[in-house]
Amino acid sequence: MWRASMSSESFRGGALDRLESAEERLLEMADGVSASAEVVGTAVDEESVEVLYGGEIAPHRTLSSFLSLRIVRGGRLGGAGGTSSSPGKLLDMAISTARVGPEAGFRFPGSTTSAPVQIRDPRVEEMGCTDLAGAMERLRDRTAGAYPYSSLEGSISVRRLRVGIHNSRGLKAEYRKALLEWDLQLLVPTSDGLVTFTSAAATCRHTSLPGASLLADVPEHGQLSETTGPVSGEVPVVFAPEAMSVLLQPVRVGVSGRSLLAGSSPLRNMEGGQVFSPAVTLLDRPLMELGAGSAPFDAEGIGTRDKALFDGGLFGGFVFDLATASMAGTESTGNAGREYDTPPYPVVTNLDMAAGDLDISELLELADGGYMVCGFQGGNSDAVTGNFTLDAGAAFAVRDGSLDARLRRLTVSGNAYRLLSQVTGLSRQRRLSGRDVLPYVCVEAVDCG
Amino acid sequence: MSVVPAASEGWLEPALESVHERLQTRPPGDYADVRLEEGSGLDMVQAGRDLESCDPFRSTGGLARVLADGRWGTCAFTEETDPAMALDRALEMARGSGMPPLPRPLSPSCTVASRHDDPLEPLAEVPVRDKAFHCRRYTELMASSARGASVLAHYREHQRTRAVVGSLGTKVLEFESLCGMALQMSGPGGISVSRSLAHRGGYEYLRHREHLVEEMADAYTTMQGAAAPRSGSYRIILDQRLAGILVHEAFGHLSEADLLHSHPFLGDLFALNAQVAPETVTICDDATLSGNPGSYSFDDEGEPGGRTVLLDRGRVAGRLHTLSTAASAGVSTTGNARAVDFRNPPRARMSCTFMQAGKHSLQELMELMGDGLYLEGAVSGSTNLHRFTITAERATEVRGGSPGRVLGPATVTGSVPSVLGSITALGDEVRMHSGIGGCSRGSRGHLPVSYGGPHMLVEGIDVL
Repeated sequence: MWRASMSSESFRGGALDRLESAEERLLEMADGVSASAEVVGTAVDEESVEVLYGGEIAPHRTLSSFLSLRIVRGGRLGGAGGTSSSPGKLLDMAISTARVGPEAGFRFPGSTTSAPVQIRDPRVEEMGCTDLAGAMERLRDRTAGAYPYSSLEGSISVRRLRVGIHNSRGLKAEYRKALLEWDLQLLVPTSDGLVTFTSAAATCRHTSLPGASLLADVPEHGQLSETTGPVSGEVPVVFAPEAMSVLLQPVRVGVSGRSLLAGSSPLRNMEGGQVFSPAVTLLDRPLMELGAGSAPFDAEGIGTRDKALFDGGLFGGFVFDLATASMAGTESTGNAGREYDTPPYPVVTNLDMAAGDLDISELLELADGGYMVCGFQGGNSDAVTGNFTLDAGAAFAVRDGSLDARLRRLTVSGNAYRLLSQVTGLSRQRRLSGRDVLPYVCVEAVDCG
Repeated sequence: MSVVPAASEGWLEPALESVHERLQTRPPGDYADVRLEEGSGLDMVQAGRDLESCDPFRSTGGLARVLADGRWGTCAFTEETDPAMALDRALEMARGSGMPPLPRPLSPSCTVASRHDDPLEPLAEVPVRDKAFHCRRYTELMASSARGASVLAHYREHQRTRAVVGSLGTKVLEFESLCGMALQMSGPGGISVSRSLAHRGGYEYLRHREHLVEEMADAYTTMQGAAAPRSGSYRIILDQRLAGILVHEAFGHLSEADLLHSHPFLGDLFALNAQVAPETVTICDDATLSGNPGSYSFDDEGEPGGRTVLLDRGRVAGRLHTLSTAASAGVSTTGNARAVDFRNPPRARMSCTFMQAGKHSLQELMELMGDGLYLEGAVSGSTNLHRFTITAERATEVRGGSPGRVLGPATVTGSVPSVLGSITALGDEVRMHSGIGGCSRGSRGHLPVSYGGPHMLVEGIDVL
């Protein structure tokens, strides 16, 4: 009954026709009053289930469409975004912002070279609330089986997207994809508080049990009831993919051409230099098969390509959109991202950290006497400098190559860039976290308390 | 000419009438309501000399909800979708739902009313170039006051008309105008000083705020070379903003009825009438504190906002409810059903949450503390419902009741029950605060909230 599909009402006839017509009308209007113009239209048909009070699973549907406009007028950039049925109002807003906007140092592309990338999995496209509710119930049964007093919260959704881009230089392109996304927390009460496991990820690939990683580490390796307190000082730490994804946030910001131009990136003047440990190879992969951030072209219509941000620890270079590339005197890397209501800005897509050659047990041997952090649940992180002080949601002492007692609490602090320069080992096993595919990572000496 | 159109542009009122007629004549399910929104806004960032972004947006749509056989289905839609079709989709969702039905019918108040903010200087009438000028002026002032610092001004405004119409007679409409600005100066060694202010009203609130830059420059100067406090357990005094964040993070979320339903362990720990804090501690949530971004006349189910005592002289006294959680608990809603925007179903959320004042001046609190840390300025706060973490912009060492050297940022953490039980004295003045962001619990975007409290003396809290 809940089942929708890419051929559902948002993606056939009426709504989509109206959006495409609005895109063309807006481009025509904008072209008449500006030197050049660009319109991006996005249609969304999303179904989701959320665990509510008392463990109930609530279904929700979203049918929406948005337009984003950018113009060059008087040599300056202006823009506006929003819901789609009033193109004239968006144009008025864009004209007003062009009066104060930055100078346009680039031209919109006249065509795109769409890269070959698989972004559609029919099994995801056909998912509906019934499937999502079934997945949530299976996950709830498994977590309740492992921890009878635990509570699961969060949501699982499938988001069907159609993205179209037109500009006044003749570019006209679109793609469609369906994303399976989840943002889940498992809270386990213990005698000394709550232990938190998190799983948040997005993918275009079908998976029968989103959020299964909530139970990935603990049942095999440790018991929640045996506890110990952390010893303050520098110790080796293994970070699970969920924790690593958080620690990579400053790197996502630091590799952006916007940070380079603002002078805030710690990576400035480091191209080609050894920044991280030789074990660390980190790719930006917009062409990852069925990756959530995968697309044939970026938010400005530039063809995408995979690139090494760090190869053997050597910094490969920044990512740019058209505007930041023009200011930096280089070419766009096809990394423009865009929200429904913002102009483009340079972003990384799917991060892919190369696997190591160690099993997790071998990695734990490297961290003997230290800790393993499964994820973070709070704290403070400076995305510019990379400095952080973070509270672990769940962490364990490591002894003799395996997880020992759970830590009643653990705070780790340091600098993300320095931390990645002290990597001593990476696991063979990798896991999706956010939009990234990451291994477990062992770091030599981390400030813990 | 204005860059941002006034919030109501002609879509909402005809849509409201059409939905009202449908709900009165052919209501789907046992109960249905539709929330309609027509809004616009502007987000502007001046980084140093560059206007980094100037992004206007408009956002118009709604959320249809249907309760059929005690089960909810919801469908969000943007303006090109017929609300009647969204009601049909919501009904499909409800009928396909495997949720256990609500144990009792909903009891909406069926309010019919409207309220409009009437700001002195409407946001839509202030040209974008004036707003850009102010951002530039503040960054220039910051740059000249703290040489070598990276400076940033972030302006944000949002106007919207929000209406709720229900099948049992509810029909409310509210026009909201919110604006705010965040100023930040940061420098080598991780020094960062920021001020964020926001209110519900017009642009006049943001004029003549140059004194903030002077305060920031003083703080920036005193933090040069300051070392972070050593890790350990301290007596601390939180300033009013940090006290407000503690109230919001450490206790406010535990008062949201849907969260407590989800976590029986926490419900037991904070059962109604349980004494969880000293008798000096009273915490309220009040949607009627006008001017604060967290305030409103009607919540997103069309229920009047009100004042709820959450903690009365240290005892758990109340919860924040929606129509659904109230029906489940067999009580009346408190008018706290809120959503970031029409794309999100409403949940039990805070509005303006604060701790009531005690009787001590700041000087008296320092004397009571003797040795410890005075923490000022908020960087961030978070909770997993049992533990919280708050980062203060700076700590000042206090010895023998007198303030001494200024230290760097400090992050404090603890368990909620422990910190509530360790509040030993409160200041005599409450201040409310709001930022340009808000609370991000489980939703896309930030919900405007306000928070506050008096200066607060806490025993034995961990500084990381």
